[in-house]
Amino acid sequence: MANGNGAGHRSGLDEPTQQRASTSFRIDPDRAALVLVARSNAGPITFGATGIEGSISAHVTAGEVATTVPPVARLEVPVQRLTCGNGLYDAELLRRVDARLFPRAVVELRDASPVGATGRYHVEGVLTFHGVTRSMAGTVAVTFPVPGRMVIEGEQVLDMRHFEITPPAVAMLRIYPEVRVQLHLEADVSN
Amino acid sequence: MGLVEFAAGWALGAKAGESHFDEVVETAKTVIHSPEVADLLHALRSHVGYSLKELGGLVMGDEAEPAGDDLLDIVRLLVQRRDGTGAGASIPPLQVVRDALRDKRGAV
Repeated sequence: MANGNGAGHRSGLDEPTQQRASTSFRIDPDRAALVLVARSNAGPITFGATGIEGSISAHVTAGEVATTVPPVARLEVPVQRLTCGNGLYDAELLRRVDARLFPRAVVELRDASPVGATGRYHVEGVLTFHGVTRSMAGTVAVTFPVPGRMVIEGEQVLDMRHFEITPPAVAMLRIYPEVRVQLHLEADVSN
Repeated sequence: MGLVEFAAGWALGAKAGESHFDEVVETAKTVIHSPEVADLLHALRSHVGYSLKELGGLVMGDEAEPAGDDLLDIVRLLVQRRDGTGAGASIPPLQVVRDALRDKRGAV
């Protein structure tokens, strides 16, 4: 969870203090989306959800995230909101991931380092999904399209077997265990 | 089904005799586990999968998978499809048939 240091207190600080203070951002659930693209022997199946909640605390200077002090973030994804538009497939997915027992997937950021000056960052953290916690690493793009708003985009391939999830199968329809996960987050400075 | 198995066993037994029964079984196992049979099963499974997908599309009014760069738009489309709302929502074919039959009954 964000530590809340300096949330909304950047104005009025002298420059060195301002650079040291972290800024807290709160994710806008209506502007945050998670998309899972699974492959099956009958073609790709796309599941998606909005309503992601959480916060980010980071040192931001000159439109970039300073990583000398690692940013802190925590995201909660409402698993039960995942849908592909087909009620039968949705029910099968939610049954496989035990959505009633584990209604939220949680991502906690542990470390970040810039990839050159590209606006991209190598991030490390842990993902808890289906009651299983695993370390994850990947790359995300961070931009600040307007003052006070941070946009994060990333993509990662997960193997559902690593989270003790049996790949869904309906009759002869077979879904493969590797799933491409795409994330889009928009977060605003919280007061 | 039992009669068919009995007849097949009878025919095989009559032709090969008891001494060749194990050989027949081994040959059958080899054929079943051969790459050709595995390929055939894989092809059949894929074919049935596509057929089920088509059938699902016919029943549920399924559409092509959403694509694009804007994840928010993709999720909105999926939710609209689930809820049957939005400009792009289509009426499932079976619903069209039901509506047509109801209109016909109403006209008589």
